[in-house]
Amino acid sequence: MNALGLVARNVRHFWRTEVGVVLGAAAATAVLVGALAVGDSVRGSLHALAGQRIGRVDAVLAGGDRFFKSDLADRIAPVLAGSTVAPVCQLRGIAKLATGESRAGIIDVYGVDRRFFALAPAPGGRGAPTDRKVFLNRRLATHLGVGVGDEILLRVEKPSFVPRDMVLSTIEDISVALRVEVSAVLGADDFGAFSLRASQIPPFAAFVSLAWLQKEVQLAGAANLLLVGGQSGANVVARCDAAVRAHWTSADAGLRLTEVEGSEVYELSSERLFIDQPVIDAVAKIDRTAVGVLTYFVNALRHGDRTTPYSMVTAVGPLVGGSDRATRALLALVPSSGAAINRWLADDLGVKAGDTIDLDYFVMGSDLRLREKTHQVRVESIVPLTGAAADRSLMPEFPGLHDTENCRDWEPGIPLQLDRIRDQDEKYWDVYRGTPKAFVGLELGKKLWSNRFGNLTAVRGPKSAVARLRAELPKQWDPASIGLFFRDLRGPALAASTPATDFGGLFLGLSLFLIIAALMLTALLFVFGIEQRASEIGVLLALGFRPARVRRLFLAEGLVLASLGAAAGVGLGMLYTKGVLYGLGTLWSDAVGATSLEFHAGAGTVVGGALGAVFAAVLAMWLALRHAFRLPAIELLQSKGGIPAADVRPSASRRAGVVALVALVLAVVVVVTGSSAAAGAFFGAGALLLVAGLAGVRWALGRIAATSDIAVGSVAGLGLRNAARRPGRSLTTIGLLACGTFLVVAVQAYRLGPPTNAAARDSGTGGFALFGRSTLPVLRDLSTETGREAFGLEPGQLADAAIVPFRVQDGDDASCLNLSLPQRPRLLGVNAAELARRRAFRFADVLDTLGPVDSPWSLLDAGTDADVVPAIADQASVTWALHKKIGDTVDYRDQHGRLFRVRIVATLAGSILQGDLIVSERRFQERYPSASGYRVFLIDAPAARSSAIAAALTRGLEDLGLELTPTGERLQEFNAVQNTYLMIFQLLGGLGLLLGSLGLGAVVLRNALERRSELALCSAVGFAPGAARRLIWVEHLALLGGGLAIGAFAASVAVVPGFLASGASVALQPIVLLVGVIAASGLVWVWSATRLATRGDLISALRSE
Amino acid sequence: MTASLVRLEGVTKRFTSADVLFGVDLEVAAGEATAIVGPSGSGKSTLLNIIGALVAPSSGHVEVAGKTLASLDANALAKLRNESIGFVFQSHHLLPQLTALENVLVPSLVHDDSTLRSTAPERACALLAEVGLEDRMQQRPAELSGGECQRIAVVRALINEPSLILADEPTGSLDRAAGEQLGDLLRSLSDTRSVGLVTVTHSDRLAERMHRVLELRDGRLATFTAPA
Repeated sequence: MNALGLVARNVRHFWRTEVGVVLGAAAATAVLVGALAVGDSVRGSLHALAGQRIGRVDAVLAGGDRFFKSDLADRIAPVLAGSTVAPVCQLRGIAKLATGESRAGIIDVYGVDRRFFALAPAPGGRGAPTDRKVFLNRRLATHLGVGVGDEILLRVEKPSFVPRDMVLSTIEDISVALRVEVSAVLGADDFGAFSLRASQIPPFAAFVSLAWLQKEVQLAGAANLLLVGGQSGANVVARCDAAVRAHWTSADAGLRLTEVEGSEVYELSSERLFIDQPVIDAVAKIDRTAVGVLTYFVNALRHGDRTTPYSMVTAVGPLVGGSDRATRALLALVPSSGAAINRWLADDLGVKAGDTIDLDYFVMGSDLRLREKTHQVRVESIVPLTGAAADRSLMPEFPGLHDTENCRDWEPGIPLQLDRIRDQDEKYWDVYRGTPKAFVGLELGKKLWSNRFGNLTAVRGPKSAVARLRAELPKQWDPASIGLFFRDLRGPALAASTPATDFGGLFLGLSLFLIIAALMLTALLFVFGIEQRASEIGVLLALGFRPARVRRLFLAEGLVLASLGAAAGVGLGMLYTKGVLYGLGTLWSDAVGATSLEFHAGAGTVVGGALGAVFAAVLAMWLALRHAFRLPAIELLQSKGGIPAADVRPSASRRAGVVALVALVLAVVVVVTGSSAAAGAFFGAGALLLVAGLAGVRWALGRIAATSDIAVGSVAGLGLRNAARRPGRSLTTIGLLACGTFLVVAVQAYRLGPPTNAAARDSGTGGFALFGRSTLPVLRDLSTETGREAFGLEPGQLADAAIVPFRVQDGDDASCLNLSLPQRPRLLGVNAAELARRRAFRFADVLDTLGPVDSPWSLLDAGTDADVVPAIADQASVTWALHKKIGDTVDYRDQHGRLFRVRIVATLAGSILQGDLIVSERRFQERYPSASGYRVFLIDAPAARSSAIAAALTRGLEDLGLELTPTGERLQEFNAVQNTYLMIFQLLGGLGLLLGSLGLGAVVLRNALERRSELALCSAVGFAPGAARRLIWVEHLALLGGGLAIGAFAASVAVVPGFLASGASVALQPIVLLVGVIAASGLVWVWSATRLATRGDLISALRSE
Repeated sequence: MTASLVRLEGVTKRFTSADVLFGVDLEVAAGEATAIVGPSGSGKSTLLNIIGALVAPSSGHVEVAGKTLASLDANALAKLRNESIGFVFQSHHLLPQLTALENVLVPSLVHDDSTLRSTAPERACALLAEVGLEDRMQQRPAELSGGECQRIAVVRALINEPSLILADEPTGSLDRAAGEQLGDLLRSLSDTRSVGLVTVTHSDRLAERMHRVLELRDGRLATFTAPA
């Protein structure tokens, strides 16, 4: 026999008393492994969802508002051998039943062909939808309540090559309605979960035929998304970008290179109306003689009291200074300063050279307000309406103008007063169409009409340069500079599948009290078992075993028991995980955004968790065993039924008294000086009271044990004296109950109720009444009469409403509703002054290196580093979703493919703006000039009118898919996540307390068994059986009541701010119920243990003494 | 008689409630069997525990097997108890989970001498046979009589070949016959192995079997004089 043999025999012999230890260790293991496996499950589920979301796609070219020729896919596919390249037309839309009964706003509509489905997670050869047919993903079909064969209406964004918020762009044809029949409902394996956004919740998605969609939205042969899959190895993105650079054409950038009829010049123009600056730079390198042209639509040309309405004015000038014979005629039209006008205009206005004329024209502000400006210019020359001056092709294809037969059919994107158009204007249009009536120098033209979309409407040069341009332009110019670049989809998708929150750690934290309770119970039962073997310890010590050796022997025994428990606990842990997942799928679904989570448990988690539990259990046993070997061997040898209680040390009691006093004073100071709004301070005060209470109990036990202050004149007095006999054991019991009660009750302080004053500017709502999102951009300023009229809103309907609109660059949702780790959160661009003026929202933190500011919102327009854009975000998003802090940056690529950083300069406290990074509108437009209109809105409205205003806006902007939510409701949605976690914590903490009350039962049983002979003596001297039991009752009810009372009292201080803030809305019932259940459980255990310990013939215990 | 195995000079022991020993002097030679008698509460067991390094004296000098106990730390004291001293208590204190043979082997588990450790089972069997328990070796304490258990406890005390056996009321829990049998056994084993034996007892019959009998009275040792 060796030491291990001795351990094995011990385990075998004492198995009855050790079953409890094994069960305790099993419970701790189950909770520990189970909590970690919840993390595995969330991680595994997100990983699987990420796979379903991106299928076999490795890289993506997402043009957004920028369209290219869909046959680019055919051109680059041969270069990317072995891969599938799928062109997709991705548009925003709204889906509804033809009956209007059901509706889904903000859906993704994809025009796809068979190549798209070849990239599905499980490509099964599914064909693409045919004309007028639609595949819906399951989420959308379920939401609409439709199946195969049903008919629905899709309202789809009608993209325009011309940016929608350009001055002359129209908004009337912003969407197109498609009546389609559902021909398939796609599951996740069929690519129904396809999305470029990192989120565990698939978007609403509808898939239609690519060619049919292109035809319906009048974008024949255009796509804005290229998906590449099946590329193996590294540098997938680099290879894809190289393929695009090698095979793209000017047409992919919406450029038209034509020869101007009847002349020797070519013209390079853009379907986007204005030509991107990188294109112009490239042309300037290829053709040094090129001429820049900027033609603008002016509202009026005035001289004196005579006015010529609605005319074209062209600015012309060399790009780099050179010229060619072919373009010289055009350049010759423009004087070195001032303007040249054609004869028709000169006659119409009665102008001669040397006179001045006024040019009235609209410009579009960044706030989508049209502002009319006037510029006075001197007429230097009058040119005949012939040759270059009669070139009608100088007018670009202004939407609503260029293809109309007469002026009265004009529908440009600006308000026209058609009654101003005279007969002579109609005649001019009939004969000369949009031939410019005036010419100015290019510098002046740029000064007046340049905008974020570009400076030129055309570039002209000699025809001889066409071939060179055609060949070299795509090489001279990086397509990435206009947003045509690939990005890795797989890497970020897999990275995003890492949960934003470590659910393993989270549930470990939430279950911590349960684990601690299980470990304490394990240690308690283990020590009780060891204490019963006190004489064995004495024997071993007497026989020459060193105390450390004996302790190791017992710990080895504990290790065996903990290992047995861990083995059993692993299986229970799996059940625990499944229970939690079930809870997250049902009762607690708010915590995970209704995500369907599947069970996953890695071997590492199981083994690691089990080992961790064994380690923790052995550690707890070691801590509990420390005192078991302090007594001399001889005392242990002489002990009967347990290790004798050590003498109560007066110094320990005195120390406890001092601690109690100090903690009490501190708690009072915190309560008296703290603000009722400071939940943290009150929580701290509550914790101090808890410490004070426990230390006070320790002091009192010491006093009782050391003196005879409490006379043994009654059974109760005797019970209290007994409780003081083992102060450590009593304190452990009270401490466990008090701490547990404190935790589960006090976390109520962090429960977020509905805002008491949603209209307050410093609340989470920012004082706004409504939060809105639209599927399609709102392209007019709704705060103006004109803007409202554009959507059919009556003047009075929004009279007392004010709207703060936000531009949107789509990205990942960084709110707590998204479990995935957001890679690039959605960007919102806002006029920061609007929020600063209102002092909207409460700031949690502001970057102090930026110096004092009147309003942190003004920081959005601060900063001199062009590559760093300041941003403000909700603190919860920054901390929990992005895992960033104030001052940190997030990397982005702008529309031109340039990298830039968004720096968080301030954070908002608990706001409705959770999930996004907010930047200034100016900085936003610099980075994303093509992002048209506004899609997010904060609306000020009087509470009494907010419903009516919401109804009017929803009706007016129905075709744009506007969805309005009361801000209080939105805030509650976010709050529900935190509240759900608190509820889980309280529930698991309550379970821990139940386990703790079981420990109380074990203490009662142990105490009673140890004192069985004393009870027998009581019986012998005439105590009735009930009196003996009452002795045990009093002692342990004092422990139970003391623990609950201390914990509840300390917690009640911690929840004061919550009560003050939420008044009666704080749910008292669950707290009372929870404490009641714990008390009842404790009573049951105390009663059971008392009965068990005092049953049978007590006198026999006396005889065995 | 040879050199002193146990030497106590001026040993006192005070407890908070009472003083027990006042300047006890004692010498026990190797192979000498000594009985200490005295009334209950006279401090006999305390004296035995001081000799056995289980209790430290309040003052005085204690030397066992050539080692001054005051100069030894806890580990050294444990080593001394393990290698030089064998204990027999009034209650046998056998571990219920082990067989008779295994109980005997327990002290050898922590002996530093590996040879002694490896030969312990053989020695244990021989000793158990010597005390007439060769056919009870695989029984557990619960299956044995009180006398048998106490004999096993004696064998356990001898397994590490100590030079001193300390017995505290070894026959206190036995009937008269078993007590006498154990007394004979202790004396016999002490004689054959030249092991010093100090026993504390109330039993005249056991005390008579020792080389000398000392009485502890009023905290001091004196030669026992049988009452007339």
